[in-house]
Amino acid sequence: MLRFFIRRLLLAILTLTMVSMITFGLFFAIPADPARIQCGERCSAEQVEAVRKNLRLDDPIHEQYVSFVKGIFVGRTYDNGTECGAPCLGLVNFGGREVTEVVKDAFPITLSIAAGAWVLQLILGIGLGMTAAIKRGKMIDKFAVGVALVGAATPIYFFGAMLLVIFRYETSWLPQPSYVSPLESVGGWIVGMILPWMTVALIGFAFETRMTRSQMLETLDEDFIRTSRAKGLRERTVFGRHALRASITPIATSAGLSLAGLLGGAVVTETIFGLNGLGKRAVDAVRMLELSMVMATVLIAALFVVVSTLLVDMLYAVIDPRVRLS
Amino acid sequence: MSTVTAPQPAADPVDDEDPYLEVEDLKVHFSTEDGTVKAVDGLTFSVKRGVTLGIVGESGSGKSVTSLTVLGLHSRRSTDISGSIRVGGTDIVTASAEKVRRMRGKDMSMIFQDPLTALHPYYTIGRQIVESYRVHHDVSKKAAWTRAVEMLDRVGIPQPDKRAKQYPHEFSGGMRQRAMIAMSLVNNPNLIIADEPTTALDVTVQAQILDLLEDLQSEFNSAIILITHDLGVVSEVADDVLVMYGGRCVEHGTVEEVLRESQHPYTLGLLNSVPTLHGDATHDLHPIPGNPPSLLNVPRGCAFHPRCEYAMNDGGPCDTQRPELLPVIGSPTHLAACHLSEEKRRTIRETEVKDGS
Repeated sequence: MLRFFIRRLLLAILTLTMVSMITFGLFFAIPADPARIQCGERCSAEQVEAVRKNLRLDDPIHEQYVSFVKGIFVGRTYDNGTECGAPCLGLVNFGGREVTEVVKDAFPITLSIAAGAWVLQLILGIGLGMTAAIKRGKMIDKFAVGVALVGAATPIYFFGAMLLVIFRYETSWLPQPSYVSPLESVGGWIVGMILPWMTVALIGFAFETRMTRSQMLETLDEDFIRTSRAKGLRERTVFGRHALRASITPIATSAGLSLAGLLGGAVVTETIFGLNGLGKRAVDAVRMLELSMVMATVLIAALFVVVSTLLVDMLYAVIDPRVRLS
Repeated sequence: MSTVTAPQPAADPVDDEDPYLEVEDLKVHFSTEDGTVKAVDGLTFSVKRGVTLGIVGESGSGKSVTSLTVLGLHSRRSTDISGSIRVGGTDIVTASAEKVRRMRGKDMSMIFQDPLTALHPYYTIGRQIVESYRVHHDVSKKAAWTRAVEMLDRVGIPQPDKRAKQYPHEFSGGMRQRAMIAMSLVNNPNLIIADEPTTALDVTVQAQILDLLEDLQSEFNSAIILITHDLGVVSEVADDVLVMYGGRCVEHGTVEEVLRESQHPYTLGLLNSVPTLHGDATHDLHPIPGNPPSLLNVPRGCAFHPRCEYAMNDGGPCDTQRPELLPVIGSPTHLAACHLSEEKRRTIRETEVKDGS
């Protein structure tokens, strides 16, 4: 088990390194001038030059990369004296704020959206999928599959915008979605997040539903289900404890990856609702060619995916005892 | 495949009660898109406590469907059942699903063919046996666990307390089947149905498992139905034998009667197809020609007539009239469903059996 973990850890580090290198490389393949953009439109030619020198944009790419990576671990001091404490992900355009600060502000928003939507998505998806499998062929099954299909086909930007129109502008049932820290007010947090949660979950649960349904159907054909009935167990125990447990592995995988994706930033959702989470920041950063911000958001998203795949793989060993021996 | 050895003297059946299981004119039909599948078409038999009934037949003869129906494990929606199945007095066919569920695992239980797939892969053996016990007895987990370990010990698993914490894939085939038996017997059921319990095991382990079943039967005095296609197994363990073909019973009697004085060409065919250790090694084997009938389209008249060497077709009754299950003269417990006269059957038996020994 330990060997497995170490191996996966090394693989994770390798993946993150590759991702950062590729992103870095891609950024410099863009024809625009990052120094000019960093400085702003009003800047004179000398000011742009100063920025370029300060950010060492004329250095060879690999040197810039190395400084960047070093900065993450030990912090970085720029030529004009600005200090950036570890982990230093660089400075943002215009204000020179540390990227780390921006990330610290943005992350709780993304986390809130992700966590709430994910839980809702799982409950809906697994619940409906299980019901569809149990009542196979009946109306509820057809309904579940149909709804899942509609959910998968609907674009998020349309759906989110529609919800906003219905619940906020036409009826004023809900206030403008905004982030209220749960530490200040749990109620405010929930109310502010309802629309983003609904948007993400009602589109996302489609996949979980289909996956749960097909896994359950397969499992229900297995011999050990027949045995559990032969023992005299109640139907709901057969479904809940025996069938679902045996079906859970692929569901866990997709759930893990889905959470990782959400934590990286629900880009469209955040943009529609004007929430400054990591997703929105990432899109803005790409548009404005802010190298540091782009690097930061990409790396964080990659980190979440890598960590979650690692966790899910280790979860397999917990779920399925047959895996432990191999 | 083992040779057919001389049947052991039947264990003294406990006669102080009426039969524990009574099946009367059981018909199990499934309606499918392609037509009606007549899996079981008029089966009647009974089993007393302490007695072992062997049900013999090829795949598709309806033997597994019979056992699943007795346990009430059929799907209520698509299955058409008529007749009666009385287990300890309760008619399974008419009783509520809840009532039957409460009997399953407690008054009647089943041992399945392949213990690797029949046991849940994610739960320990101990936990599965505990579950079996706690469904029917309101006891603490600890007490149930003690009982589970006790049962594992009783079926001959060494270090039962350690083993109970292991998973099914950590057991060998024979031990798994023992564990399955422990699980089925934990509630002391009066009726045990063993569906090909030794088919997935090698021959030496097979003998151990059969011995175990016999032991447990004499200890708990349960009625056992042993479903198998292996005549060797039947001759070892069964007291009574029921031969099934095409969803119907073709012969029924004590193991001596059915195996030594077979009254039906199908039974004789089965006996003859068993390879023997005696006789000429260059002789071909004698299988029964043809294939078992599709239960969607059971042949008219006698279900066996297309494959029967002695069938009286084209004018004779074999292809038009279904033979009734009638007792043999002189042996009222021995029943056979065949249009051939008793003398004809005796002649056949003498020539056939002499041939193969």
